[in-house]
Amino acid sequence: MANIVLDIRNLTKKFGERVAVNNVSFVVREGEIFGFLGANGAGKSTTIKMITGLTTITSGDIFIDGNSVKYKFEKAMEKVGTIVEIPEFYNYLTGYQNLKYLAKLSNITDKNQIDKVVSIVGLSNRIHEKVGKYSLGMKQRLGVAQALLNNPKLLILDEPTNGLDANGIREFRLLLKDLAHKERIAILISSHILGEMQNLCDTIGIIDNGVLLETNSMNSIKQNITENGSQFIKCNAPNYAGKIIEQDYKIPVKICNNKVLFTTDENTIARIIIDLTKKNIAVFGAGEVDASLEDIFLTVVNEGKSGTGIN
Amino acid sequence: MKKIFRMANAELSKIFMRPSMFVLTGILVLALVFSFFFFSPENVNTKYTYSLTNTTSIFTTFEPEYKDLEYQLISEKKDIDTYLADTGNVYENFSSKFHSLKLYFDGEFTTTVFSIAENDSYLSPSDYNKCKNAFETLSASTENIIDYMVNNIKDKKINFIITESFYNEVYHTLVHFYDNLPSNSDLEGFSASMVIDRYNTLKNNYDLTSLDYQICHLEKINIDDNDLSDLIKNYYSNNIQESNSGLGVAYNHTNKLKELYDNVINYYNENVDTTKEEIVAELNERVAKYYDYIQICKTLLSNNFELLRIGNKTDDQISTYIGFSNTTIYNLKKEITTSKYFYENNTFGYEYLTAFNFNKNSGTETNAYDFCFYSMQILSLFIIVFVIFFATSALCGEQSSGTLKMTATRPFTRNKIFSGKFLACFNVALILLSVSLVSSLAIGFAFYGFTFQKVLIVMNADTLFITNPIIVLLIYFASILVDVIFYIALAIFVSMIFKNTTISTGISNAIYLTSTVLLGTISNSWIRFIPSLNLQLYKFFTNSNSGMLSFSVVPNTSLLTCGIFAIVFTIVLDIFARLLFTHRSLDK
Repeated sequence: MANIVLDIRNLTKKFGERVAVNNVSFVVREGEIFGFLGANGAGKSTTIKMITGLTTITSGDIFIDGNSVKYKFEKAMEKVGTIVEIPEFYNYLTGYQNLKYLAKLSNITDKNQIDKVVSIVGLSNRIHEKVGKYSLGMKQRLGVAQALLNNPKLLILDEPTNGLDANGIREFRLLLKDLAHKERIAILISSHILGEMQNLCDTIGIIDNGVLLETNSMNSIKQNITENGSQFIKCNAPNYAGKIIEQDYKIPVKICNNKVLFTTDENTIARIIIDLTKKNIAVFGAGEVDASLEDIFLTVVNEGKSGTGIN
Repeated sequence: MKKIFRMANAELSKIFMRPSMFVLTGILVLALVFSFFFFSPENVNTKYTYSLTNTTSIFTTFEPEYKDLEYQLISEKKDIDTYLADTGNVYENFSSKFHSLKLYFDGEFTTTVFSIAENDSYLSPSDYNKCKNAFETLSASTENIIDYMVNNIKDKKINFIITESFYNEVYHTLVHFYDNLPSNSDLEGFSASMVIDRYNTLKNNYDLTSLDYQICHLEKINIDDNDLSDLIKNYYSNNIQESNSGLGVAYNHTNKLKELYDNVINYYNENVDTTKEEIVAELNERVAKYYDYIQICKTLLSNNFELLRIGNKTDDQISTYIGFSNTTIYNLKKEITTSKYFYENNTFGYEYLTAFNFNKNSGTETNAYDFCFYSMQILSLFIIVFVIFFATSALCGEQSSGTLKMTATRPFTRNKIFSGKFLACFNVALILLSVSLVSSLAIGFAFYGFTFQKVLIVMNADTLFITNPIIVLLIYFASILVDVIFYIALAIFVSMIFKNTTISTGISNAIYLTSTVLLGTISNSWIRFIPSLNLQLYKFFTNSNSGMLSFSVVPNTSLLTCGIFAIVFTIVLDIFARLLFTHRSLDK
């Protein structure tokens, strides 16, 4: 298993009586893209702000590469790059001057470093224009550039694709995957755009009402779904059809409304359909179960609300 | 520590690229140009010379004038003599006159009035005579007191203290009282009841009893018995002896003055009716010395005397009293220190430059330093106004615009961010002020030239030192820096509370500008505790009226007290602002 870069332990944040983040714990490893999902107001941003020191921690602690954010903030933040919501820059300076300012703060004296991050995000031809003239997409890219300035081990992104168009989102996704898998950077990304997260993340954490309901790798999640059955047949006598499939083909099935769920290969499905039709069962449709993250998310959240867990 | 400097460095470069910095630079250049054109200093330190070209005309002008000066000196002494001789006299007279009036009114006058028969008929001849005499006596007494007040109390520095307002109260009461007394022709038509009516009017409308009580209890200025006996001893004994008291020393001026006068007259007798430049200049020089010396003696004498009488009061108490409205203890002490130095060291005022004042020459001619000081007063005003703006926007402004997030997520503790930005603002001020100083000095040099005279500075009213004008400029520069640090701390503190750049800048600048104007126009004791009025520490090195917008009357406090108070308050502001900043959530 890769090294743990970000270790969150029993993190809690209270605003007076209201508990915004409730005893949250999870880890992010080297080269892993961790997706932090939740509705608006679930506690994602608050958690991230605590990690980056923008908000104080009520209880619990956060360890970045072994350094506590509470007690050794400066050491902990040395190898962290952050974009919190929409990155704001000094509009009267050029992109390059902004980066230079931030580089000075981090004591980065290598001039090439700035050029390097600029080319990574693809802003080389516009970097010497005033930021006031940048589009939102360009600002986002500049935001990523500043996050990469100090060669971080951990990248923290809070709703980074807000405002980007489809192309921008796709490019962003490719960039992040590159950074994670090639440079072995740990990435924590929070979002509520589930479709995008599904394509991007290695691990998912679902948070609702301040509570971390579920943490799982994408693979396991997909597996869980397919355990229920990755194909379905919709017909007018699902129970009868299910018995037939179980007896004749020795495949376990699950009945869901008018759908029979099971897992098998394509050829077997074809034979099953012919079989059922011969037995005068009306088959309305057949296909692959859509294992969408959205389904999972809603299920988890609803079950979290009602107190049961996912199997 | 290094991190703080790094932060300050980065911040500094950033501030210099702000659009508002260009605005400020433009304003400063304009201000420098304008100040040059509006600079028209007046001469304060005058050397008393004649612009005549002939020794005879000089001497004939000098003769009556010196006599006049000597007379002024003598009348200073006479005032002191009067004081000694009339100790308590004027007060006693005033008090007893008023008391007699009151007694007469309450006693004999009342009896007389009520002894006439109460009826509606006109007064009988004997009754008429009684009333006539009574009213005439009352009239005469009142008039007498009014005259006495005008001649002996108003404008005269007598030994008891009567405030302006109380004087007016007594005066107007008596005047109205007098006006209400019927004349003889009025009385002819009076009936007995009318007399009684008039009596009641007087009794009810004029509270002589209360005024009498207050006059009896006027707080006298007392000179300490020892001081008094020293005064008398020195005056009457006519000894020529050095004494530490400026008063004693000044009394023994006669020989020196004679020597200086002889200097003038002998030189003139050797060079009658000459127009040769060097000789005229030399004669003028000797005349100047004579004048200067008399001024020194006069100052020493009168100031010491005044100090003896009012030294234990606060400035705002003093200013309410008749004859003392322009006096402050600080100025008295300062002038005594200066005059004593000249007296003891055989030097003269015009040999030195005075400390720099706004739009005034420090010497007999304008020099580069005068212009530099003038221009710096104007430029520093703009610089501080803008630095306040930079300070509020560095933390509060960046929080509103969201750019602070970028800095706060870097490996810097909040404290270091705070210190770094504070330092950056200070450095901005330092750089701008230095450039202003150098360019003002350069322009001053180009148009007015330098001077080789030294400056005589009295610090804190009692420490005198003579130094190079550059040092004085540096002292002034340092005092501006102290002000800068205070106002940056104030601006940041206010911005932490109001969380809005516009409001915070407005409030901080309002405090700055009103303090600069108010500084010193008010010398109430409680005002001294307002921290922003304890700044402009340069005022402890110079005279009043040295500030551009302020009248800089120095309150009766010391440089050390003011300085410590200002420093402590700055630290308090800094700590609270820091606490607020380090515990704040940086989310929009």
